[in-house]
Amino acid sequence: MKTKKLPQIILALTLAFGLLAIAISPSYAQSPVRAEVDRNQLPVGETLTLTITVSGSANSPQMPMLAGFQIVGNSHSSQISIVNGAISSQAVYSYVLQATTLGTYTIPEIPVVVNQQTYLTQPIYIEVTQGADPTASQQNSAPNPNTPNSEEFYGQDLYIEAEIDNLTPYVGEQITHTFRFYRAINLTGQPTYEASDFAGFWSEGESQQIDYDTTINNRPYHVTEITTILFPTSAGEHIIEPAALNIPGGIFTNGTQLKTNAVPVNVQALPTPAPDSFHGAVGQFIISTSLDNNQVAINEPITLNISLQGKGNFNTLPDPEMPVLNNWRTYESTATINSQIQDGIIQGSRITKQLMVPGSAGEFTIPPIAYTYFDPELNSYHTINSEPMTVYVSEGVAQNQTPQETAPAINSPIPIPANDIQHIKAVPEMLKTASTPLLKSWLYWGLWLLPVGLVTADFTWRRKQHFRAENPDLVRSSRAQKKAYKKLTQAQKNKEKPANVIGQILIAYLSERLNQPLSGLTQKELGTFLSTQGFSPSLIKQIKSILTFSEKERYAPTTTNSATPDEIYQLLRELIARTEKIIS
Amino acid sequence: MKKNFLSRLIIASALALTLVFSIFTSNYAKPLLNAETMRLANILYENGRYSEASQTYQQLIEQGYIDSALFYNLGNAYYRQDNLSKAILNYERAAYLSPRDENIQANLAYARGQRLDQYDTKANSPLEQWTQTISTKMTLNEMSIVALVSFWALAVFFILYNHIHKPHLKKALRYILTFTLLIFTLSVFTLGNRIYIEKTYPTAVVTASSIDVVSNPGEDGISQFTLHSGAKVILLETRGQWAHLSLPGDQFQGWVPINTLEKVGL
Repeated sequence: MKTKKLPQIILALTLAFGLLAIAISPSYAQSPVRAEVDRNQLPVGETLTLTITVSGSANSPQMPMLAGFQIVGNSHSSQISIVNGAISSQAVYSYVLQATTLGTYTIPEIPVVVNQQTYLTQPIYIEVTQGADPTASQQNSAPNPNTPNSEEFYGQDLYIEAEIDNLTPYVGEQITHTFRFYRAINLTGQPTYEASDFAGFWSEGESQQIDYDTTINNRPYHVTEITTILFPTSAGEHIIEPAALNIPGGIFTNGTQLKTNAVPVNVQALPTPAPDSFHGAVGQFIISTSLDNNQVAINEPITLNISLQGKGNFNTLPDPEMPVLNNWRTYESTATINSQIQDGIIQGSRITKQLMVPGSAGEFTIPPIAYTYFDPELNSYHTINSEPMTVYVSEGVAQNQTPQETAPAINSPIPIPANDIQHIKAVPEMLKTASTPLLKSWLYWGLWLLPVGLVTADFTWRRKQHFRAENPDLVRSSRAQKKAYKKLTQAQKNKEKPANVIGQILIAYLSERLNQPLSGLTQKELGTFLSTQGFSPSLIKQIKSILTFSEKERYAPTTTNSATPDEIYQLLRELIARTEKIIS
Repeated sequence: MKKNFLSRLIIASALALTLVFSIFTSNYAKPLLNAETMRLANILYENGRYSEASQTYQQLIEQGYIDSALFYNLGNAYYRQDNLSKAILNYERAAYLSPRDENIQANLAYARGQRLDQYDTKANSPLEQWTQTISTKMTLNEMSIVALVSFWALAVFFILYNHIHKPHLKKALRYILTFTLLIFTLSVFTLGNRIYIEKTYPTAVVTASSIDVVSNPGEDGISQFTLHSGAKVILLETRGQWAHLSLPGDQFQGWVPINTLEKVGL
C-alpha cells in the first residue's frame, strides 16, 4: 500500500513544485522589459547593438556571459515623461557586441529587476557568418563607380577627379560634389585632401567617404571617393574651385600635389512668377499637423506640431505660416530638424512647435496650414495643405499655467511674449532684515488670548447683571454694609456728632441687610427680631447700647464723654463687621 | 450703562487692533545702513559686471538683510551669468518674501520656462491647490495676521451680538458673524496647512547641471531618472551626504548627493 502511494506523492509534489515554479517565475506577458538587436546576422569581427528598454524604475540589467560575443561598449539613457499628468519613466541600456567566432548564438534571457520584480528579456538568435571578401563587398558597395576617361587615365599611377551630378541646378536644389582618388601603387605616406571652397553653396552635413577597388584599362586601382552635398544659394554661374590632394614624398621622391579641374555650375533662378505663398522652400515635402491636446481649459496652453517631411535643405527651410485664431495668444515657435542622408539624398523632417493659449471658451477650428514649395524634379510650384483640426476650450481655469502665466486674462490685448528678464530693482527705502516670524513671537500668541479673555469677561459680567436683576433684595442687602461705611466716612469727614448719625446709620444698615424695615420698632422688639435672625445676645446688647447712646446724647448730651467721635465711629464699624460675619 | 460699556469695548478693540498692526506692519525694517552697498551692486550690474554684483548682493544677505529686492537682483545677476539654478533659487526666495510682486513673478516664470525639466507642479488635492494659490498671494506673516484679525473680529462681533437687542441689528450681526466665522475658519485652516506643508515638504532647487536621481543613498544606487539645473523638488529628508527628494505628486522619489541641491527656505 505504502509503496504504491509513494510514486503518487512524488508525482503530486513534482506537479505542485512545477506549478509553484511557473507561478513565481517571471513571465514575458506584458513585460516592461524588451530586448532588441539592430541585426540578427553579421560577419565575424563586426558589431551589433543590443538595446534593452525598461519601463518603470529598474536596476541595471545583469548581463550574462555571451558566447561568441564580447561587449565592447555600453551606454545608458533614461527618459521621464509626463502626459496628461501621468508620469512615466523609461530607461534604455545599449550594449555594443562584437562577434568573435563563427556560428549561431543565442543572447540568453537577461534578468532585469523592475519595481522589485524580476523580468526576463526574450532570447535572441544571432547568426555570425564568415567575414565577406573585403574586395567583393567594397566593390559591391561602391555606388556608381564612374570610369574616368581612359585616355586621360592611361598609364597614370595616381589620378584625381571632381564631379557634380547636376551642372544646371535650381537655387536651393540639392547637388552632390564627388571627389575620387585612384591609385594603382602603394603610397608611403598618407595623402591629405584639401576640399574645394564651395562659395555660393550651402554645404550640408559632413562629407561622406567610401573606399572601393576597381579596374581601369586592365589595371587594378584602389579608389577613395568623397561626396559632399551642396545647395546653391543664388542664381548665376558659380565655379567650384579645384580640390587638391597632397601626396607626401618618400625618401627618394618629392611630394606632389594633384588638383582637379574647376567645375562650373550654372545655377538657374526659380521660375517666375512664383506664387505669393512661396517663401523659398525647394525640394519635395508633405505637411502634417497634430495637437498635444484638443480639449483644454481657458489659459491652458496647447502645442501645435507642424511637421514638414521630405527631401530638401531643412536647415534653411522657411517655417510655415502659423494660423491666427481669435482670442488666442501664440508664443515664439521652435523648430526641430532631423535629417539624414539616404542614397545620397538629404531626407528628414522639420517639426515646428507652436505654443498657443486660448483666451475664451468654445469650439475652435485650426484652419489648414498651406505650404508652397518648388519641386525641381517636376519643375513646378506646389502648395500642400494640412488637415483642419478642432479644439474644444472649456471655461475652467487651467492649473498648469504656462511660464507666461502672468499674462493678462481674457479679452485683454495679446501680450508680447517675454524675451528677457525684467530689470533689477532700485534700492528700497528700508531694507528689511531677518526677523522672527510672527508665529514664533509670544506677543502674537498673546494677542490670540486677548479676545478669549474679552469674551470670558463679557460673559461673566452679563451673568452678574442677570443675577442682580433676578435678586434685587440680595443685591440691596449686599450693598448695605458698603452704604453704611460710606455714610460713616461721610459723617466723620463732616465732623458730625456721632450721636446724631450713628443710630440712623445702624438702623438703616440693619433694615437693608435683613430686608426688614426696623425704624418703627422699640428696642425690645428689635432685640427679639434680631435674636430670631441668629444674633448673639452680646451683639444685640451692643446694638442696643449704641442706639441708647445715640438717643441719649441727641436729647441730653453729656459733657464727660470719654470716647472721641472717631472711636465711636470705629466702634460702629466693628459692630457692622461682626454683624456681617453672623449674617453671612 | 450699556452704551458706556459698548463704547469702551469698541475703543479697546480699535486700540488693540491698531497695536497689532503697528507692531506687525511698521517694522522689522532697519534703517538702511547698507544702502550704499546695494547701490554699488546695482551699478556693477548695470555695467555688466554681474559676477561682482552677485557677490555684493550676497554679502548683504550674509549680513542679515532679507529683502525681496536683494534676492530678486541677485537672481538677475545669476541669470546674466547663465547660472539658471541660482537665478531660480533666488527668485523663489524673493517670491516667498513678496509673493505679489509682478517683476519677481515674471522673472521666475521666465527662468522656469528655460529649465530642461518641464514637469507639472500641479497640486494633488484641492486643499493643497488652494494653499498653493494663497501662498502665491500672501506671505506667511500676512496669513498669520489675517487669522488673528478675523479671530478678533469674531470676538468683537460676538460680544456686540450679545449686547444689542434691536431685532434688525441683531439679524445683520448674525450675517456678519457667520461671514466672519467663515473667514476665520478658512484662514486658520489655510494657515495650518501652509505651516504643515512648509515644515514637512520644504522645497529645494537642483543646482548641479545634471544629476542622476538614484534608488538609494550611496554609490550602489540605481539611476531612476535625471534632473537638470533649476528643477524644483521636495526635500523629504537628508541622511549624511545624501538627500531624499520627490517630484511634485510624490510619484517619483530618489536620492541625490546633498551638494547638488539648495533649499529655498532661508
